[in-house]
Amino acid sequence: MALINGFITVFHPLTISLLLGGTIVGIVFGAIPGLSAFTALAIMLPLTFTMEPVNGIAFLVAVYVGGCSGGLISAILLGIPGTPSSIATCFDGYPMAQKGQAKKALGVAVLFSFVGGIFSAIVLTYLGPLIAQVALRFSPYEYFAVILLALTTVSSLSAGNIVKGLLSCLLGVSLAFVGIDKLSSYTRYTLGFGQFDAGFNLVPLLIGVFAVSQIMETAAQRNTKEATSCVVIPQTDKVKGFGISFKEFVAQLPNAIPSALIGLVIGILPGIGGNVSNLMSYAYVKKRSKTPEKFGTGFLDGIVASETANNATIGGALIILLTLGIPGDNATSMILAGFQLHGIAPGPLLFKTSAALVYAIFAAYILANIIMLIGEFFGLPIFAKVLCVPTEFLLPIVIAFCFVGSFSANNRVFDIMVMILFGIIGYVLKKFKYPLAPLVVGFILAPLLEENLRRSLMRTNGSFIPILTSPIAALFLILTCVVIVLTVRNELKDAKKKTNPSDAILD
Amino acid sequence: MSSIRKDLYSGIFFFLFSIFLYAESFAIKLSKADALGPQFFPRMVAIVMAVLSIIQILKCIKKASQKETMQSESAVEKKFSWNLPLILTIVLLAGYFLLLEYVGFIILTTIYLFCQIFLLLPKGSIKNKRYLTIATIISIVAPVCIYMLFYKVFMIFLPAGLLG
Repeated sequence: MALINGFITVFHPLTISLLLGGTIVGIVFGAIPGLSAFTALAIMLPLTFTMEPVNGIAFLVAVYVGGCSGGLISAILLGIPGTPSSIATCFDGYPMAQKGQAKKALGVAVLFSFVGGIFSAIVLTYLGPLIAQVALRFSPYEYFAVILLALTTVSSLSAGNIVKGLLSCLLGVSLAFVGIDKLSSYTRYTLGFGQFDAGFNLVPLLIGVFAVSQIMETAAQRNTKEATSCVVIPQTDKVKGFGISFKEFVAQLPNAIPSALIGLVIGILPGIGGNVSNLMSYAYVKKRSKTPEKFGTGFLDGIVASETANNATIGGALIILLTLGIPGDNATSMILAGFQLHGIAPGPLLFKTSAALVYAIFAAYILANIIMLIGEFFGLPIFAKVLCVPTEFLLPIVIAFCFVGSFSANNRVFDIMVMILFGIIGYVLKKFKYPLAPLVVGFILAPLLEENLRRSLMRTNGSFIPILTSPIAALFLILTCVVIVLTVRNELKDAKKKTNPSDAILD
Repeated sequence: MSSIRKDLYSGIFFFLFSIFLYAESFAIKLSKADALGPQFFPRMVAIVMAVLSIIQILKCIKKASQKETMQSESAVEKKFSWNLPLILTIVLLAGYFLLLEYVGFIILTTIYLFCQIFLLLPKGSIKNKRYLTIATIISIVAPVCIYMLFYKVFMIFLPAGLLG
């Protein structure tokens, strides 16, 4: 019922056109190699300043959906993944295109993107309110334990090196100390600069760490790079509809269902997203297949696995963002920034205080998937044309938008400096092989982590014992330890495998 | 730089940063609003960070001692050289920040876009007439469009500078 109300809210001409525009912009950005869902969100964020919260957030969700799905176009037609979410789509999509079956490959990819997206949307709609209900009963120390688990998961999953992941995360946490301490209302770590009193704004920090560092990277690689040629495979085959019969569609479901589940679970886990889920479900489906040798030669099952999974990931990421306020990666952090711009904090309370907004977001997410299905299918000839626009021309324009975004977050030029500063920090961290997601997630969650810990100790008069005796908190703390132990064990195993140090020298 | 050196240097950096974090926590005004106070959490973070960075440094030392017998590192290591496009990009960005309020969005962004595009394109592209035309058109049209879009549609006022 609430969902129907959500649809009624979204069925406003302005909202619908925003969803349409957002999805299409997302697809274009996703399709162009070098630009991603995050870049699209970074550019589109300042546009939402003056929108109604519902419209603004629905728009950002649409951009996210389009951005994650658009990558399949270049994966199939160019053999280059438009975004890391569609790496596995190249494996079978490109060979199919080379065999003259480009249209069929694209049709199937779009169709199963939709299947994955709708699957996770259904789960989101039913599971989201349940999780929120449980989370609403959390006391501060239980919430503290959940956040601690999320931070540990981000740090251990996104790096492959838990020490580096945690260091990056702690750097993010300490960056959040700058500014006014909420509980005591004294400033911390401002070093005497009045500009730091309000702390670092999330928007310039995010844009800097991910977008500005990218242009620095591109500039740094200029000398070594050769002029890239771009060959788009024309869609010569004539097929009706999506290129597969209903029978074939049903036959693919045994591949699609596990892929959707893998995508969903990976989306829920903070720190990894579509870039991991598509590869993982590809590997799973291949392993389970009766004809694994066909994978990589232009086999439909491979496309189904990859595309179902990466779109299912979005729903998973939205579940954890909306119900607990925990962003899992750069794109969801940007959506969180969108919430903050409108003075809304995602989390369990949101389901209680603004249920209408939550269900409108669900409805927007479902509609965006439908628009993605129709728009991507019929717009393919147009999207195929933009593939060859060189990033050398596009990235500077992206940065020009980033200037606007950072400036308008607070209407001060100072934030442009913050953006550039974090661009340099992001670039250096990337060069030193530190993951960036823990930094950002640490920065976002640090205030919640600290506040909940201090609030819970206020309740217990400074004693840690009640925290450990609460079953829910204890469970999450134990899980945190398990994550750390498992990651360290896996790393030690990997290190032992590398007994021959000669290959370690070259990396 | 080899990966071990990178890890070592970054480990040392994080160690120094944790010392700074701990030292600077003494400058925080104490409040009695809660049991822990505003300095507890930063100190905890500093301590954990210090421990992790020491682990990182020790790992590097262990790896380096294992490798010493295998091969001297300097043979693989590339000579460090200044990356000109990267430095110019940073200079360009910093210049943008410093001049924005005086020059204004449209003019400064035009200059920025033109310079940045040729910093990304392969060397000598500025002599290529096609590239030059595209770059010129983009760097003039894009800032005007962005400015108009935000000013007219979204009511966001960007610094007008000289044109204001």
